[in-house]
Amino acid sequence: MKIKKLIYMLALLPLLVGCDENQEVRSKSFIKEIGADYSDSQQISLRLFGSDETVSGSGKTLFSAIGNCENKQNKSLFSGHLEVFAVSPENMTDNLMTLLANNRISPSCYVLCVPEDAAGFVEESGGELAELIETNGRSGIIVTKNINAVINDYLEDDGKSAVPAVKDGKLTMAVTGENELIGLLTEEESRGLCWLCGTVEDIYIPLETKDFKTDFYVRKINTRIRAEQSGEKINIIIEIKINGNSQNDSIDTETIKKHTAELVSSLCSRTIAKTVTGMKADLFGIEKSISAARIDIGKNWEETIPYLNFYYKIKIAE
Amino acid sequence: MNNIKGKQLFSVLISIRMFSIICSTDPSDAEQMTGAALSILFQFLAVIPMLIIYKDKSFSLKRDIIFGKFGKLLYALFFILWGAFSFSNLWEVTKSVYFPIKSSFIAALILSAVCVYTASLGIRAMSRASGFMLGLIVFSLLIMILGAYPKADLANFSPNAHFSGIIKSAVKDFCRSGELVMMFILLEFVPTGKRKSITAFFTGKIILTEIVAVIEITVLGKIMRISDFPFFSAGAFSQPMSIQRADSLYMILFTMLCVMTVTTQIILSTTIIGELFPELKCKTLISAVLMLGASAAINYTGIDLTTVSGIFILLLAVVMPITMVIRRKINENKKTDLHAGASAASRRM
Repeated sequence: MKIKKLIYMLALLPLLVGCDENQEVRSKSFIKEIGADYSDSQQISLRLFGSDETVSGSGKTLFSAIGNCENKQNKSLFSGHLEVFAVSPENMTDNLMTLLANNRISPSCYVLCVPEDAAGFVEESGGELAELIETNGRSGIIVTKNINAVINDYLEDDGKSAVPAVKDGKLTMAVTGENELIGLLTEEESRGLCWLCGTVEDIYIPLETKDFKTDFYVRKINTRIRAEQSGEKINIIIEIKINGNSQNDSIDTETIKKHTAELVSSLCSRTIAKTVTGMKADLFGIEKSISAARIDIGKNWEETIPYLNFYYKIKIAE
Repeated sequence: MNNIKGKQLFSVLISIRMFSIICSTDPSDAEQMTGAALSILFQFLAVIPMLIIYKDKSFSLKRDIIFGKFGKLLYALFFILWGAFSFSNLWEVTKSVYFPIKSSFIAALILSAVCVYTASLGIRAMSRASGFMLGLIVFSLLIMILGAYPKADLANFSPNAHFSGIIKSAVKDFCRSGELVMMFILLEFVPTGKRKSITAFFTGKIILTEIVAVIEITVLGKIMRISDFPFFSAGAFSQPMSIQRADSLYMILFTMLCVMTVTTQIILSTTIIGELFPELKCKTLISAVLMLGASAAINYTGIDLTTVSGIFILLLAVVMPITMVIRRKINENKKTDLHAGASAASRRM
């Protein structure tokens, strides 16, 4: 019996083939950021963890370009901990689909649209892109997006997605379609989108009237998009519950609430005018709310837009 | 010596079910969720005859199985087929999901060697290991829920479900519930607490199926349509920390569950083959080779055997136990009649 067991164990020994090509951690480099441009081929720049330098390379596909970068330094590259994927809009969809299918890149990594010279932007950014995106996201300036979220948006009927983008060195939101940039949002429109997506928390809103000037502190918000059928029209009700308080106790609370609600609804309406009416994009789940309410007017997204009416319900609680 | 506890039966069956869930390629939606719930409810009703049979302490599957040797052969064939499906799942997953291995075939070969070894340790060792597997399943799901919570979007859930779609999903779910057949054989090894463990299994099964479906729907949204294996995609997207890869945990879970499932099939088929051919040697190895061969054939031909497995499950886990109950009832009635006849005759004497 013992001999039988020994034979089993010995027979298993040659199966330990995984040990022959093992790689030590010190012989690997971990990619932190990728900037990818596309003209005839992929031009990329990589920033590695623990390094101030960037490595550039090119190739017909994204992974052949990464392979080209690997040949320019002495370590094998590992992309599993990628933080930011900065990409030009020309082949954004294709690149993201490649990353999704490949499974070697963390799908949690942030996507950043750089309309011109994404590789150059990564080289000049100083390696703090993830932190920059997170800070702007927290401040209600942009809505952070990972690969999953962007592709999910592309698969909706409108086929468009809002992606953080770089405009004049600042972060804002861009509306992108399949491998194309539809347009960039202004700072206010981008902030409006954050309110519509419910990603605002821990920020101060400056309130300024003839009578007073103060800040309203927003602890957190909860945005809910609801659809109701009203005859031929569909009412989209945007409910935003704000938890926060004024920084000036001497001003009447109701006045502050009224001004805050006006400011928020004005930001939202500007964003809706630009994105929904102008760009025909559904960036904050309008279709999903219509579907959840089981409303079917037998029209596709673009045909539905003229039938939409938007209403705002801003509730402020201290 | 080969007895297993009711709790261990629960763990074994849940582990096998979890493996099916992980390997599922179908996108989850309202229809799938409702269909699965309906199917599990039907399965729960369908196993009642099994429990009735085993209620009789004198019942022995080895002795009382219907169709004798042919019936046993059918069961052995099913376990070999299910083992082959498990190997095919392994091949498919290693091809689609990033697994750091050189060849899917070598992976299957290594895994089958491991399974032959674990099967040689016997049913008790396997059932004891199932407790650890249950812990791993719960831990993995907790990690997944923890990671999924901030990324989950309830708006991804569309309540639209059509009756035909629900029925289709229910049938599909039934066709993938091979654990019912295993349950029938494994119950033979459980001396007490059969009813309790079966009820716990179906409760656990419905909870597990629906939890995974909710995670997949809310985390993946429309990506599920283009995802080969929604469970792995959901695992990849619901990372507890932004750049950490919890995927490795799900890969470990998948591999361990594959070993567990194949080992169970090897043990069960070996036991039956042993009853059919007592003189045959190296039964464990033969079972594993047959499974690998069948799996290679399935992969090579690319045929979809879902319907075949569904028919097998219906026959072996529903029809045969019901027939056995009816047969026993008839025999009991005959005995009663004979007994009554004999008593009447003796009274007349």
